[in-house]
Amino acid sequence: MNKNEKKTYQVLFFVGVLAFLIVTTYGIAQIWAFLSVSREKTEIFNEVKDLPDVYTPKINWLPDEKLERPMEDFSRKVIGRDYVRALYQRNIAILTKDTAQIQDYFTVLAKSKIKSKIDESKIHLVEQVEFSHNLKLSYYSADGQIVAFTDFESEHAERIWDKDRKNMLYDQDTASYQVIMILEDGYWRIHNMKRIDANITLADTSQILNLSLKNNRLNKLKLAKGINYYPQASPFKNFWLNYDSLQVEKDFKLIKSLNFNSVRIFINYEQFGKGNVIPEMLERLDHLMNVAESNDVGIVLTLFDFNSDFNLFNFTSTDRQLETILTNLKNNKALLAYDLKNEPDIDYNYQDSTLVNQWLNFIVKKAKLYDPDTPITIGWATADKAAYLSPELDFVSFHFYKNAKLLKSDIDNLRLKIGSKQLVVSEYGKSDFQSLVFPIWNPKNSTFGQISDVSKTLGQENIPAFYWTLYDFKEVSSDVAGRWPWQKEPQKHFGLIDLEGRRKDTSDIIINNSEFRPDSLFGFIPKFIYSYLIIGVIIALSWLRKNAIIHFLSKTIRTLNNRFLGKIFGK
Amino acid sequence: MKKIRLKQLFTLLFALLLLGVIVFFLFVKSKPKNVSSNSRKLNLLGNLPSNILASDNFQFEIAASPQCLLKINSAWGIKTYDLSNGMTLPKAFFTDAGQHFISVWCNFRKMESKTITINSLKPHGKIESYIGSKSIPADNGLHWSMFTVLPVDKYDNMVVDNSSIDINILRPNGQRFSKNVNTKDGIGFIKISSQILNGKTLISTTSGNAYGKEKELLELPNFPKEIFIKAESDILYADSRQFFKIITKELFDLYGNRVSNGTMINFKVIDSKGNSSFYRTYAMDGLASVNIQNPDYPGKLIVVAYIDNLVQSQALNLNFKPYVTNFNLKLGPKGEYVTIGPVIGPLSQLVSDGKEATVFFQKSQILKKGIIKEGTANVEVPKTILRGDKIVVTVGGLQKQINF
Repeated sequence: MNKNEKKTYQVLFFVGVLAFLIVTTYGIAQIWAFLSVSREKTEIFNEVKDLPDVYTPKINWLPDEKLERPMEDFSRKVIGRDYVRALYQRNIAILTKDTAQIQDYFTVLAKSKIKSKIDESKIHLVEQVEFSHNLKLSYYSADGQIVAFTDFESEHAERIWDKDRKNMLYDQDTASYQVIMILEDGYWRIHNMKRIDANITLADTSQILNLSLKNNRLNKLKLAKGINYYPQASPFKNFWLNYDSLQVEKDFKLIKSLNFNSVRIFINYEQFGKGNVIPEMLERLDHLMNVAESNDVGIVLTLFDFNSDFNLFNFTSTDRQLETILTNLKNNKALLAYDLKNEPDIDYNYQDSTLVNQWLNFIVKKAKLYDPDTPITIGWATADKAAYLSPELDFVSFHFYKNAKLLKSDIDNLRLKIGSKQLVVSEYGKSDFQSLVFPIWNPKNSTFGQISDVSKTLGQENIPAFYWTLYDFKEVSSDVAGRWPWQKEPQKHFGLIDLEGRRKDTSDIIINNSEFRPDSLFGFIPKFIYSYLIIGVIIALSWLRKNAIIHFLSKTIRTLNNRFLGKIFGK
Repeated sequence: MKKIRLKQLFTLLFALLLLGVIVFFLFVKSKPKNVSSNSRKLNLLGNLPSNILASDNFQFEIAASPQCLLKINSAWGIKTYDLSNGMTLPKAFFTDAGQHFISVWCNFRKMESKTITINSLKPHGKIESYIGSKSIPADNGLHWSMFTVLPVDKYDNMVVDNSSIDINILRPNGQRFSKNVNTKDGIGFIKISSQILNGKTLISTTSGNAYGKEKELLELPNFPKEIFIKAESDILYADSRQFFKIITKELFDLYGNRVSNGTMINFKVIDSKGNSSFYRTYAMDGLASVNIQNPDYPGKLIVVAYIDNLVQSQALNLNFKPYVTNFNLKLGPKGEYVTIGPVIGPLSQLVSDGKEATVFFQKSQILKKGIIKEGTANVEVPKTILRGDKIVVTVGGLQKQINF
């Protein structure tokens, strides 16, 4: 075996051992993870799972027809729940082609009807979801075992995919149904149903009930000097979970003292309980709104933060959360506007944009229904996407973190598309993080210049804006900013106030419209350049005069030791 | 063996990488396409009738339309068909009653749509029927039950509104009548009010050639109109050992129906000291009885039977005679025990074994009990008892005392 062969075998052996270790470790980790996860009863016994918390269509009981036996509230609730559940199981069964899904929710007669739908539709994937049900009871048997009702104008949406999931059609409609349900084995089961041609006059809340209130809110927004807010100790996903009412009160006083009149906050979709909004979270939100009101600060409420599930089944849950929050807040004096989704164009990178846009369309319509008096917008990450749905929105908003020179052209281009509609920049700012290691180009002068130029352009264009953000953060989780230091670290340093609670120099630009910018030579050079220069010099010198450098370094250390350290610690 | 060089290894790795890239592009899930609009004008559904009766003799041919699909929305879900090679709307489709929204989509854009209504037929086959409540009191119309029919047509569709259903009823009194009901929302029903005679009401359903199973409604007697009670025996002794039986007279409801087996009757017993005790029993064959233990003390006992707050019997007064007429009392030779007996009963007999005697040491405030066996009981005197203490002995309410 010659030298080359030996080396080759060594490399192959090393790679082989490494691969073996990786595979073994991964396998053990998978087994460990599997055994560590507790199983639910439904998984162990292969039962139909509970209705997922993302499926919460609206159930609206209309006044009953004349009944021989009045229905109890409890039964009404159970019947509504089981009806929704049965339709959900039917939809799942049609989507998955699995008839086992419907076993507990339909009588024998009804099951055969559904099975005929499932068997014959194998070429397409049919996804269907009902958003709302308006139920009018027409019969309730004396022993409480049989009901008949009409489901008027039930809204539904459907996505039908080809079997490769490459093409998709989307359709949304309303339909009415006659339904008979029977109580069997403790379940209310659908026994028979029929789609019918029936309409009913539902309360129309789509019209603006209070135009002056809406205009008042829009006018306030036009004069907004705003800031995005998270507390310093608990930003992003920690805000609502670790809600500190005293800290919020302090922060809003601070915001007021810094001459801001508007604040943009974020509602975490999942932490607020998805479709079943957690009352404690609403109380926290109410507290924040009251604090804002007492400080005379307006609130732009950004909804559905960190929701990236645009599955049709999730529409109902977002609908319920929207309804709960909007109906709860719509009369709040501090409320300025709803930002229905933060940066949906970022979701385009991970989801099909068509699905995202379908959801946006849906949620915009619903927001207008639940609170027609409050302006709505979508907080686009970039101006070039911000024209989408603009005719439906009360104002158009986007975020700007690009080079300040591009802002004017972005605004001009956008105005060409949206006409005279009010523009708001709901996020802008620049991180002043300077790494000694990573080449992040944030020299002090550049930061000042960027913020100053953006502010100036916004002022000239008369566009209200919200600075990102009040505080520098100690910690930002990886799922918010990314796992790498060059992603995470800059995200921590966008604030007007640093980690020690001091106002940064750049804050004067935002707060006092100062045009000051440092013009020292060193201000133009980011810190990592110094690091690289020093390392470069050391390497160069090492290469040129290896021994001399070593000699110089050892001499320097010896001198330091003799002069300083020796005095302190003794020889 | 061929020599493996590093250069060859890198070539292999490069080839694998290239293969990976090719596989990725071949199999990666492409994003759903936003398909372009299709300007073709279709008229595939024009000849489809918009309103027909459910039938399995009807089919509808749809011409081939490449890249098109047919979507049918109905109550039971959505059904799709590929139209690339044309199709025939199956017979089964025309048997499914209700409104169907049919649309044709080409390149996933809606090209044409039509709503057709398939009307149900008359009731057919077995008519499903339910009775609830399944039993009611025969209280002359106060209670009622509901008989519900869920007729379906030949294809298991809800029948059209106002379908006529005949309901035949045979009451416990032999009365037989028919009632015609019209369906609404797929349901027909009648209320059946109670009469006064207990028994079964039989109900059947017909509509044309459709028939339902026989159902029965039980009309049960209501709670008793009144309760009379009596003691089974007049010889009552306060022996606190035997039981005496209280029995009701036959129980009838307001309409003369004997009460149902299992009707619960409560008894309340108040003794001569005013203590109350409660007993619960159930009527069988119209009668209810309860066994109550004889009291310990002679005197009066009051018994009342009742059903909740609905009905109450007369108060039955019972006089319990003393069971012990006399007994002797003496101390043992060294005063270590008290001998009670012979204890004599009303027939000059020794009282039954098991009778309890209580011995109370008055100064020491100590109470002891003895059980009489063969007419006598010995009760140990505690060692703490001092001379001069008074011993009071009670048997069957009769009291005697002796000095220690």
